[in-house]
Amino acid sequence: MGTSYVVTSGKGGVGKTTTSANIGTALALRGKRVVLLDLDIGLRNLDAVLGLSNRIIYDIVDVATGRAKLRQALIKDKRFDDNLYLLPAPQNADKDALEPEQVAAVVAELKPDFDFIILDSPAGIEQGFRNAIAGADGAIVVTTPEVSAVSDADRVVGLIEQSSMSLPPKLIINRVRPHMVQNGTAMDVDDVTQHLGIDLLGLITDDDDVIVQSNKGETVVMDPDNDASKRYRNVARRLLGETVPLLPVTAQKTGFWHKLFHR
Amino acid sequence: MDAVVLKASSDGFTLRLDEDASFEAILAQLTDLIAHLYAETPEGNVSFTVTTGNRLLTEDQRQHLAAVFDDYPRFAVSALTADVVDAQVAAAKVAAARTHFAGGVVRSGQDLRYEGDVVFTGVLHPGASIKATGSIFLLGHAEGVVHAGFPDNARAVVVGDMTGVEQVRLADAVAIIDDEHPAAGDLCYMDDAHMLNFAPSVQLRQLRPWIFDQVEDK
Repeated sequence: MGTSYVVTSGKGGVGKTTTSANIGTALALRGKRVVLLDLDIGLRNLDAVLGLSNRIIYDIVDVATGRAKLRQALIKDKRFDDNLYLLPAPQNADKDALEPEQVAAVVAELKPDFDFIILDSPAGIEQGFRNAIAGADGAIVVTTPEVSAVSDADRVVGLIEQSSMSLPPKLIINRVRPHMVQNGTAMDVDDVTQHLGIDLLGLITDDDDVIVQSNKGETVVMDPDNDASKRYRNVARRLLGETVPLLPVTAQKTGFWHKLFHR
Repeated sequence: MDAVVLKASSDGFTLRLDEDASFEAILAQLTDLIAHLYAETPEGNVSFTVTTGNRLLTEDQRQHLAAVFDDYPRFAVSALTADVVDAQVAAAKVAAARTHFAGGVVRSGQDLRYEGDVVFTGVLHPGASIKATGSIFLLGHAEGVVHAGFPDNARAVVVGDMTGVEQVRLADAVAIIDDEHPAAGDLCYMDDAHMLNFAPSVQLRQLRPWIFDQVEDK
């Protein structure tokens, strides 16, 4: 029986979809069977981030309304053996096209066949958010070290605590800028965690490669040497119950020769 | 002139309802006629074709007509025909026979639908789709989903540059276009085995000759 996690944030643009895709691929690389559900009805992205857009035939609304069988709609990512699947969202429907009970039913149908079900929530706290949390056993709240994002995350944690999920919510602080941490201008990560009062699942650095890879339809996790990749992989290990210490955030030293040749 | 005329032909019996007579008169005469005929044919099932000329019966009138036959179990109406069709139905038929022209920018999530053939001169973005019951001729730039013969017309084709599209669909079949499976030709058609095939568009003349012979076909 699998466990379902909703990836949510309240605020838009903090990296929910990127986080979902990277945690999903990291778990799949560790041999777990993972299915990613895109619940951003009408503004789907997860398919594009994974480079699977052209393989969409049926979507989650087709499944929920009985137009398609679940196995017809699931898209297998061939790069990860039999371990990573995507259930896409429709692009031409409204958030109201889906009800929370229908999402819960789809998740229940997936649980026997998968170890992890990751629900990528849309921004906001309306119908789309309610749909996403309806099927989840636990929540991964994504925020960035900015006052606006932390404030929205706080609101979302409150809503999640009211929804009686079986697992406590966990926090990912995304887009941490090493040079700002270095020179002391960034919001303190410990302060953010303490303020929100939930367990820290991971700290992801702001890395250009995350965007570069995503534009190619790949996740940064597929590059084993990248700093953000290592951090996502550690998140996956923590979800699997391992105790992994946080990697220190250090700015890359740019020496004279580097500056000279990499302008 | 009689409101109802019975005619016999090699196909069976036809009841012609006079288009100028009132429906009440028709109903009265029909009731008498059927009663008379039923008495004269003691056994065997008889089915009638009812034709209404330049008149379309309303749903209510059709029910009244059917009710006349209810008392005579060996008699039945096999077909109800008219020389005319409803204006809406006629307009839909005309639209389906027409070649449509579509253009402009079709954005992600937008879904163009046409009855009949379409010539597309615009830009179809990824996540957008164009669907036609007939064939689609791409002159513009398409990156989304191109669906000809929607939902079940296997004779439809897609002609044009399909190298950058996400999917080509014909009737109920799908071809996903990617690096491993590129669009190998500027014509996509469905073969007799219900498989999607690509070919150079010059072969359209042989594969779908009727497209070039619209008058004969429609």
